[in-house]
Amino acid sequence: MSLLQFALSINNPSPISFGDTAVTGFFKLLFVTLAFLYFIFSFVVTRQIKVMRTTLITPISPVVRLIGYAHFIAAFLIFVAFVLFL
Amino acid sequence: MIEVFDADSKKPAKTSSTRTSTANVMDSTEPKMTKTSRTVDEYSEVIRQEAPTNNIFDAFAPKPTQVFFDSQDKSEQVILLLRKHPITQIPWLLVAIGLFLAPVLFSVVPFFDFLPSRFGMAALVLWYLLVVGFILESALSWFFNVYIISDERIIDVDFLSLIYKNISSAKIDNIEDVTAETGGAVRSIFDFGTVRIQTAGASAEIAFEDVPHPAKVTRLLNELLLEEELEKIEGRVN
Repeated sequence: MSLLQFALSINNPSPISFGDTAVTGFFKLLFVTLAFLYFIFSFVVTRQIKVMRTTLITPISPVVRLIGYAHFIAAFLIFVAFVLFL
Repeated sequence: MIEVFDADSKKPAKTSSTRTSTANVMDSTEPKMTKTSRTVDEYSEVIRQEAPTNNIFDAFAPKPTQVFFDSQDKSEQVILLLRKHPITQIPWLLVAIGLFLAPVLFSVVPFFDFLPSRFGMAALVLWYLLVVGFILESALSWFFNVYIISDERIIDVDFLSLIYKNISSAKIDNIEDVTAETGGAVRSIFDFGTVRIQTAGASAEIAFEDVPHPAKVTRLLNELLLEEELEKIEGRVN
């Protein structure tokens, strides 16, 4: 490789190949872990909503519960999607 | 018809303007106690000037319809429901807007260009999930952290974090001192402040923080205190 070719390659580094399973595996593990932690958080939010609803009873309590469950289901589906497709 | 007090009868419903009982006429040597009580509109000028609130998102909700709390007695009536003034929620709203726009603003920075495109999409999904969680948590915190004034008690409902709940209550006649604090331009313009209530109970002080119309709240509490004292003097009971 000539000096010019070497100088050009510094500004145009080769991207990590998709076959680099170590790097992708690490990031998949990272994303799955974060998604799982958020799934746990969403479960705690549903419990918190239940406590809140029983403490203060309002006409929108059913709507709040629905929002909590939708949030929980969304977190679960995203976790599953990360496990299967990342 | 002589109106007498019947210790065995249950507390009557609050819907009637006067509550009387003629059961068990007392001995003439004992003081005759009336079971007549007034509604909040009769003794509170503050509440008399306010219409019942149907909006469940109101931060200052006099006579809220369809709002109850778990330790509420059957005959206990919620007179005023308070939350923090909506202006105090602007900081987290601005943060939420910033978080929503952050991926657009930082799209020029190639965070995940060295990874397959699905990781970039996953990062975006995870980011917005976190933003939704932040918004949900902030909104729930504002909606359910309430201050309740009933005809018998004042209650401070605090959800301090995901798993910590603190409910402080004090009977109206245990209130010793009421102080309203309003400081600063924003609080003066939007008329909100903190009402501090010194009590004789386990909770030495209950603070209604950043509530709308603190002067009205103070006046209402003073009216309720006066009514409690009048009830004791006149022998009226709830």
